[in-house]
Amino acid sequence: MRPLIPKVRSGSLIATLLRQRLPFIGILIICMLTLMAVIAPFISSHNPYSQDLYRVLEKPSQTHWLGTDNLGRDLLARVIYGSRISLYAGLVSMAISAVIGILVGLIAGYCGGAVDNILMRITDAFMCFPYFIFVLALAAAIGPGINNVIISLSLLGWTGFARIIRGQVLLVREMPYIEAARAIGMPEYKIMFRHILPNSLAPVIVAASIFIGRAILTESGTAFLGLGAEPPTASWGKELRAGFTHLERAPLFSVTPGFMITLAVMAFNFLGDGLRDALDPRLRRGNIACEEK
Amino acid sequence: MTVFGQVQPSHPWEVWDYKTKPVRGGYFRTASNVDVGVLNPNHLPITDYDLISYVYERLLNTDGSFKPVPWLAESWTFPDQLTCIMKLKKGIRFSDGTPFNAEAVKFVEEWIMDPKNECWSAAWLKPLKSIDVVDEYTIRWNFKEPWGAFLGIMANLPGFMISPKALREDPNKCDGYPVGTGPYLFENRSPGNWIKLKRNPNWWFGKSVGHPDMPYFDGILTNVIPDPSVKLANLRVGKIDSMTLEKPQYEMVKNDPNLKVFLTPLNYLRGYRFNHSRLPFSDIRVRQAVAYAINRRALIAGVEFGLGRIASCVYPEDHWAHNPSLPPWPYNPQKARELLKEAGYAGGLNIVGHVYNNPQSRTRAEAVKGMLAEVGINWKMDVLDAVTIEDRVKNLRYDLATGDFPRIDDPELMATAIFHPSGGRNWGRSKNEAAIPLIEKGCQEIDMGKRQDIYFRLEKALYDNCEDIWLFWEMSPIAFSKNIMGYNHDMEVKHKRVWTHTHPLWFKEGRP
Repeated sequence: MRPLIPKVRSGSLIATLLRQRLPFIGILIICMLTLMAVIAPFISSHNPYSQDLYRVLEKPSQTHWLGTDNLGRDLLARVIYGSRISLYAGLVSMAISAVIGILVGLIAGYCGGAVDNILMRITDAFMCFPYFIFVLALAAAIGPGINNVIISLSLLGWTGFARIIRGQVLLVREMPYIEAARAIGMPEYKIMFRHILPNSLAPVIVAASIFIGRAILTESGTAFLGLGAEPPTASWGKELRAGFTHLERAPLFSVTPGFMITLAVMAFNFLGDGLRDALDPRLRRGNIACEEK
Repeated sequence: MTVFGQVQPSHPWEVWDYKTKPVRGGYFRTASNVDVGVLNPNHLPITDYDLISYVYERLLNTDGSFKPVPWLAESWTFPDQLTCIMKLKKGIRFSDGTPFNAEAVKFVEEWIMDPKNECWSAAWLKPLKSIDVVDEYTIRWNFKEPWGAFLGIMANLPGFMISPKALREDPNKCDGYPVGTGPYLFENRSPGNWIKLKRNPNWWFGKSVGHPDMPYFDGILTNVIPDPSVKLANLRVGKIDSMTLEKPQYEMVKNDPNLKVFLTPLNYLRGYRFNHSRLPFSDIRVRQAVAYAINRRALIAGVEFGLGRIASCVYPEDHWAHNPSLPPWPYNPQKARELLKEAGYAGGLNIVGHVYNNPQSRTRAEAVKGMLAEVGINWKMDVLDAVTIEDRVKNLRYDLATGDFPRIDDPELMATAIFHPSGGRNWGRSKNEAAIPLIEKGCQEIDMGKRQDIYFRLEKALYDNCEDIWLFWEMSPIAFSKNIMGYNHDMEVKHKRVWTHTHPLWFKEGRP
């Protein structure tokens, strides 16, 4: 019997994604950003940390393509290195959130009853808090540093994953093949992880990609407000904040990191949209994704 | 040059040689970052002392070198170490009609000292034993111990004279509805948005010097505009008449033909404090290494946009307590490396600390961190809020940390607070054997000449011990719209507060 939710075959999925315009652009941007973060030391001609206080807030020139920041550091190098922090924060917090969320959702959905109730009420409690404000408060409480921001992002970000997974698990666990597995005496954990989990993952992939975009935005927001990566580490949110004060004198100082944040968030959202369309069996045929918008 | 209403000046600032005759009229509109808060200087929070001193006046004022000069008090003598006889000016009334006299002064000071009124300024009056009214305009102050800072304190917060009638009737009302002797009266306010003062038609000072039109504005309207760029935009389109600029804005507007922009030196020290109580900064060589590693000139040029005066020690260069023989610490990274090597940190040194979380302080610390990294010092500098900083300072959990000191008026307050083991900002971080006796002597000396000598020696003792990192004394850019008249920048710098109070501004044609 064919499962209601199709198992993802990676080859066909990527092909589907690449056939659509926006997800294709998203993937392209993500690849470029990742590449930029990985090979940052090789592509930036300046050290992002070497300051020259006699040459602050300079206009773009041959030596400094985007000009210099408020401590006379090369802005281009800072923006390139800043991609590392943003991608790191986005990916790691997504990974942690997804693991917590999937575990909670899986257990809640599979066990049902009181366990489900308790776990879902805890999830609800976490969801009550306004996300950004709680991240700020938590990051401020456990101290500065990018890892602490990631911890706070993850501590609050898992709820969405838990909800989605639980819903899927409720659907999948009633499938005849689960019943069959139970009938032949398969251990519970094996059923959960071998049979239910892989068949519930599709919507999580969509959520994960959108989560990364949101995490990058939140990380930038916290950095903008003075938390997050410690100086002199370059981060887009921090550059944006520092440049904000000098908007009139050196517009590129805040516009460039702002543009990069937009680009990254947009790319992950495009990818998320594309994935959703590609994984949704009702939208499988044709290119409804674009018409839908 | 025409001279209006000239009276024989008994003080160098008592000159009013305006090229054009001042005219009355118009509300002066300005802007502040935050709401002024409570309008009683003895209660917290209060954020804008300039605004407070439009309504309230102090017993004493300060001159260009921050020395106390007469204001509501006319003269004083010290018959012995524990007594001060003070004569008050006659014929002054609070705006509610209460006469300003010895009874009023006694009432206000005793009100401040009464613990049930919860005045934060009460601590400043600790050495005060009692106050006697000798006659209507003479008052005798009795001290518990010789009190060197007495005059300085009377030129500061506890010297603000509040109407005793208002305080007696309802002190809580005073927090929102101030009654003083100053040039302006409280008119109206919308907390968080604006506060409006109106002209005091009976201001004693203008009348006493033959300028009865003073103050010239009909009133003062202070808008709360938190964002500096919004503030500047308001100034440019003429919605406000004056503002204090942010440093980055100075470069943008200094040549604006529609504005008058000036740089005012402030009695504000920027620097970093060492924790002397533990290694590595209990070793003077490491402290000196940090001092040598910081390029103050570059710091001011880059981070402060050239607005700052390199500091050689704690008291600003225009303060009477500053020892002019001390040269600023030179920039010498090579020497810094040698000193670190000598002290046994050739392989690098890790230190921890904290600074305040605001853009200016963060940027400055980031620049200094970069300079320290050059000589092999890795400063793990946390950017924190005030409460967390307070906790770390109290528990001495830092090596090198933020160490600014605002509003340096009487030198005693700062010396005791930071460098004396009993000081409120010390918590055991510094114990300079040469400085402590000098600080104690400075507390007790009344004679101005001897006090100055004590503070010169204190600065030398701090300097020789490389007690802290002193970066620069602040400068603040201020902008006026073109039709504001009567601002004489040279004299403002020369005589400071007393000039500001005696030389009110006016609108060119009596309207904004």
